[in-house]
Amino acid sequence: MAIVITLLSVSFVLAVVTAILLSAAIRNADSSPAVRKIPQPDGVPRFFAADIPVSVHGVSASRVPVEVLLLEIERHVKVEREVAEAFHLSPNPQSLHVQAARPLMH
Amino acid sequence: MTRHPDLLTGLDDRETADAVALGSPVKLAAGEVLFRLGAEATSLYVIQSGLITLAMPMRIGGGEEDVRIDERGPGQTVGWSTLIPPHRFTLTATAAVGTELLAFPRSTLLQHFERRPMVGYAVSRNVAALVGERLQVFQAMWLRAMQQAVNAAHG
Repeated sequence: MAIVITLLSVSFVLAVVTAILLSAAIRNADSSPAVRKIPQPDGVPRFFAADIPVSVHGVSASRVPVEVLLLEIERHVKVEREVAEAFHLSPNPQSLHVQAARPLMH
Repeated sequence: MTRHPDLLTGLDDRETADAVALGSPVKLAAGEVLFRLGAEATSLYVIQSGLITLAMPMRIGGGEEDVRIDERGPGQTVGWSTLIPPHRFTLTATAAVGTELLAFPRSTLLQHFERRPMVGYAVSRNVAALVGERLQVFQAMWLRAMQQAVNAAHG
């Protein structure tokens, strides 16, 4: 009888310890911020960071013909330049952050 | 000259005619390059007719492609790096269609400005306006691009 009670006690203690360790592990996983890769400059001076993954209408850049991608980029630049020119004529935070072109980065 | 050149804003008709007379005509066929990024800037250009596209290189798919970032038409000036040190073009300029321009060599302009300081003053103001606009527009574009990068990274 004493052996059975001892075994039950040890099992209970092991179960409690396991539950505590498991919940701590889950908590740590939730609190760790997702690591986001921020594009780093490679030292080559250029206006746009072209190494940022670009997509056109949800299609990966690697599958979009360069000509289509160029047209999309130039359309984006044109819209962004018009917004920037409007900011130049009437500088204020609203005109600077007005929603215009769909971001090329997704 | 179909439009009064933005470079010569503020000059009277005679001063404008004298300045225009300093330019040499240049004709470009569609697709012909006027100047390339990084080249020494020795001449300023005023567009008489046609269209000049301004482009910068971007790396796409392992290659390098010129991306059109601006266009300039009749009356507008391209190549102001000619007057601004270090006198290197910062864009590549290409004729989008058949284009006619007037080319003003830096040495010719500077000699004219020494003889006519008020013309030099007016042209300097106009160049400052062009440079200032370019700076402010591209500063705003840069900030918006940064904002998009921040939004993409942090929601």
